Order: sequence, then C-alpha cells, then structure tokens
Amino acid sequence: MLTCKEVSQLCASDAVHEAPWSRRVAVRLHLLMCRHCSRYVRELRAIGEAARRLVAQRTSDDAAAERLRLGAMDALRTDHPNSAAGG
Amino acid sequence: MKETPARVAAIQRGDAEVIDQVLRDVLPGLLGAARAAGLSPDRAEDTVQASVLVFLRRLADFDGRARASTWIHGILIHKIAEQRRIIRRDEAREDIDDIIESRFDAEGSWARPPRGPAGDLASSEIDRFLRLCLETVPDRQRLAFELREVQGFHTDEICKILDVSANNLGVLLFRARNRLRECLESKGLRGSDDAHL
Repeated sequence: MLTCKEVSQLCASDAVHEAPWSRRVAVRLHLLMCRHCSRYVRELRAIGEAARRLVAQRTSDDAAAERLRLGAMDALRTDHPNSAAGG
Repeated sequence: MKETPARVAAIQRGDAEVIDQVLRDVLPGLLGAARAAGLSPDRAEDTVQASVLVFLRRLADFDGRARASTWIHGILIHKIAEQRRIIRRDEAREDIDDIIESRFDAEGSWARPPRGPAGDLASSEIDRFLRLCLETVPDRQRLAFELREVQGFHTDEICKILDVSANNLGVLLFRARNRLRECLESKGLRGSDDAHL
C-alpha cells in the first residue's frame, strides 16, 4: 500500500505520469479512498488553473510579442532574402 | 510531439510564412518563461529578442527531433543562464522540504491535512494571492512550474529546455507546487468543500 506521503510526492512531482501502470492504478485507488490526498491533488489542480488565468490577464506581453515578431521578420528577410514571400 | 518533415524543411530554409507562424506561437511563451525566470519586463524582452536572433541564425541546424518551440525555449534558457546563475543542479535540502515533512506522521499519513483552496473560490481572490505567492518561489522552480502548468510542455521537453534530469525536474515541480499550496493555505484561502470536513 502507498502512504499518503508517497502519493503526494508522486502527484506533485509529476512522477505519477511516468510511473508503471500498476503504480498509477495504486495512486488512483488511494485517491478514491483518501479524502485528504484527493483534496491535496484538487488543490494543486486549482493552483495550476489559477496560474493559467493569471497569464491570460498578462496582456502587456502582447505588445512586446508583436514588436519582437516584426523585428525578427525584418532580420529574417535580411538574412534570407530568397526565402518565400509572406509574413 | 514532433515536427512534420515538411515543416522541418520549411524552417531550415527560412520560409517566411512558417517562421512567422512559429514566432506567433512561441513569443508569448518565451516572454512568460523569461519573466518566470525572474527577469524584469525590459530585460525579458531584450533576452527573448537575442534568443530569437540566435534561432534565426541557426535555422539550418534545426533537426525537428524536438518541437521548434522546445528548441527556442532551450536557447532562451541558455541566454538567461549566461546572465544569471539560475539553473543549478544541487538538490540541497530546502525549507519547503521540512515543511512538507512536518505535515506527515511517522507512518506517512497526513498529520496536518491540506486546507488550501480546492475550488469554487472567487477566482479574483485566489488570483490576487497567487500573484503574491509566485514571487516567493525561487526562480528555477517558478520557471519549471510556468513551463509545465502554464505553457503545457511535456516533462521530457522541459528536461531538454532546462537541461536537467527527470528526477531533478520532479524536485523543482514538487517544491514549486508545495510552496504555492502552503503559501495560499497560509493566506487562509479555502475551497467550498470544507463543509464536508
């Protein structure tokens, strides 16, 4: 049997995704039976979702990305004058 | 995930349309990764620019074994590492390891079960505190977290980008996530299902 500590370690490090099938099943079963570990995993998931929301709000980077793209395409045309037209 | 032979060939010969699409796809992520690594907005933009120029200069070397996005991120991390000692391989014990240790008893069961934000929180509330908590995470842990959770790279791709072992990446992610979870829990943020406990 896996302990709670082992389950939290496997989940928080992503090692569970690389683990053998039997171990992944053991983690799944543990999470079904253990409300603390299932809560822990849900908390980690909520944190990931919140981080993705935060980045979606990071609109100041959009202008920087556009500046960088235009500059890079200029550099590309200088270095590869024969490359296909476009961009 | 791999690049198709046609796309690899187009990138190698500097096809403007394909390169433009690669840049559109990858630039927001590069800026995010540079910021996550602890660079200021201006510094991040400069470093991403330098990385993209290296990418353009080396197009002919692109072999498609990794996605173009993975390759460019690797160049960026290399550039950042030239400026700052961000990617160290030591795994010395950190404060967060002791904090996690203290949450379990000798048998490995929860001594202090999690009480953090588990969902159904007003998203503005968790977002506000997460911004603060992210600042307390060490740069390379925050960078690993950003690449995995925000940008959705596979773990083997992140290992290539950061040039670390799978084991080492696991430690970085484990610490980043636990630091964030502990930080949010300490702010008193909880989820809706506390009623069941």
